[in-house]
Amino acid sequence: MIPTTVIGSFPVRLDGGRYAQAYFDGGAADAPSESLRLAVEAQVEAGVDIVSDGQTRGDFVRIFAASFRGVVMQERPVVVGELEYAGSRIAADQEAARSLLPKGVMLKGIVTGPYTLAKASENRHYRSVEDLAYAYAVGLAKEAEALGDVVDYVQVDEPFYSVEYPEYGRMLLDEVLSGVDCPTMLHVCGDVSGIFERLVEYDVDFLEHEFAANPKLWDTVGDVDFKQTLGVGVVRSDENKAETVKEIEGRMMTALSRKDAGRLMFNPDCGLRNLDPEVAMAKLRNMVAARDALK
Amino acid sequence: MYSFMKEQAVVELGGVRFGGQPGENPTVLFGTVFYGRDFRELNDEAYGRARRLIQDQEDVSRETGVPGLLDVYIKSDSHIKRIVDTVLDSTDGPFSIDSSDPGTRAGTIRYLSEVGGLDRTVYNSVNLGLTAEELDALRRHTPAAAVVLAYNPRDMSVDGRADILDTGAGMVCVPGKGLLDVVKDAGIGKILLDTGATPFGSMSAETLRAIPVFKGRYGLPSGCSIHNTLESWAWMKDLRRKDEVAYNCADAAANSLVPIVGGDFIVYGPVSACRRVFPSVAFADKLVAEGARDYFGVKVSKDHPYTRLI
Repeated sequence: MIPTTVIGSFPVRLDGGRYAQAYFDGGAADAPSESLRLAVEAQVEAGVDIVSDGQTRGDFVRIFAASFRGVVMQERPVVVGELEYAGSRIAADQEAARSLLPKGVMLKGIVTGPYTLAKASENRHYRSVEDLAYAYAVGLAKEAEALGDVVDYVQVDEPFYSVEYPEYGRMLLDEVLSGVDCPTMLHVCGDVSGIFERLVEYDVDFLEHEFAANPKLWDTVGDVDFKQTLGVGVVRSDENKAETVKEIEGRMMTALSRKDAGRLMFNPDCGLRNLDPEVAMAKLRNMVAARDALK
Repeated sequence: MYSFMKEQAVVELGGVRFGGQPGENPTVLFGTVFYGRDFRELNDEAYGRARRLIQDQEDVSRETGVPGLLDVYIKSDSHIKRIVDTVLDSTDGPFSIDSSDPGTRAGTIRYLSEVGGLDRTVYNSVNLGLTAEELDALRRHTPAAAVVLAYNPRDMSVDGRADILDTGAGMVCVPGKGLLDVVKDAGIGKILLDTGATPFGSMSAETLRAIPVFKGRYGLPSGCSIHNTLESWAWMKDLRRKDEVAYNCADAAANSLVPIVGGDFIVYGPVSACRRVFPSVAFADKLVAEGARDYFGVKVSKDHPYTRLI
């Protein structure tokens, strides 16, 4: 059976009234834990095979940039000194997510890539973006290693690669994943047709890309030989409307016409955090139903 | 000392001015009445005490030049009429209505629309507990101003606090809308931002750091109730039992931090603290105004403690 997964973020809605009351009463209320629980439970309920913690703790840049000494968090992270990794902010979340999973459901841990962090930061210390990205990569390697001890897969997100590909991109990823023993994934959203032949050279087990919004990507990917399993985006993450099972099945059939089933995985194009929770849930449910209909 | 590139709105309500560049206007102090151990039982004696405290805050405000507002706490619907009638009878100035219960907040503005007074009402607060009933009441019986509470239990960083204002952070009853848009859509034109004091261990420092960030980002009057951080501190609670004077000093000092970081208003706790808080904040206001005038060329308002208290 072709596995299904998510790219990372999942939206959740909490009961603001309950948290407001706890605030006024001076009581404790653990909204981050409830957010994580709701996100994980939703993915499990939808039937996804490899779930994430939902990345409910915050923005995918800030959560990692804030883990470094040498960064001052302003509207964007400002790098003012030598970067030093200060410890994982999300490893405990992975353990919490793991405790919620029924048998057979697997967990992926996600790290935002060093190039994306470097481009999202204001650099006031390093000589170049490359130097900054490498400094981030050294710290992120510790983060990835910590996650790798808890999860079944470690995924690196480098959305910036499709905007501006760095020639040293592979070196960065090798550094980040240097201490990871479990299978690894690279997610790059956007149009990767211009760089796909470079990405297949990476030492990762899965490549995950945006095919639902960019079906023309098949023109490139279909003709390239590569060793990795391909994570095919089969639902859009930029439209707040769930696709039908039939529509998704059509996208899956296109994938199967181009690649062997054993080398495929299905996922949304990107994280779902900007969608209504009900829509995000419907997308995941329909994705799983479409995959099941293929059997 | 701060000065902001972003234009700073000045909100005026019943002659009280909130906001502007630091040093331009004195900090507005909200003293809470009908709340706390002195008001556990709302009997005739309590109402008499409230009237005396209301007068006391007006007196110390007049003496110092630091504006005072009553923050009128209403525990439940059954108290709305008598409390509101007492306040309307005791002060001609603006006041805020405050309750942890959204139904009571809504009921209070409904009552104020009947008896008059919405034009001097600050609604404290629009927060993540907003209900559809409350929103409907705000649209029908719109108060002159509202405090918007930037408390976000999912993320207590400054970014998280801003997120509840901008997007609702997945917790506001109008999906996809932040509290700022909700308030504007309800027709409330005068907005004060409360950064949402949190206790130690819950990114408490972000309560103060959010003030200059919010002023820089939104240009709106910003403040907080930092005394809540102090009051929730276990060590301080213990000290208070042993040494009330030491606690009172710490309370006055805590409140005076707000103008130092650029804050425009403070919900400073029980109005009975006015005699210690007003002088302390007057000192901070004078310091900030002197710096703002000398360094940034800010024009200090007349009646500011800077000019009045020599």
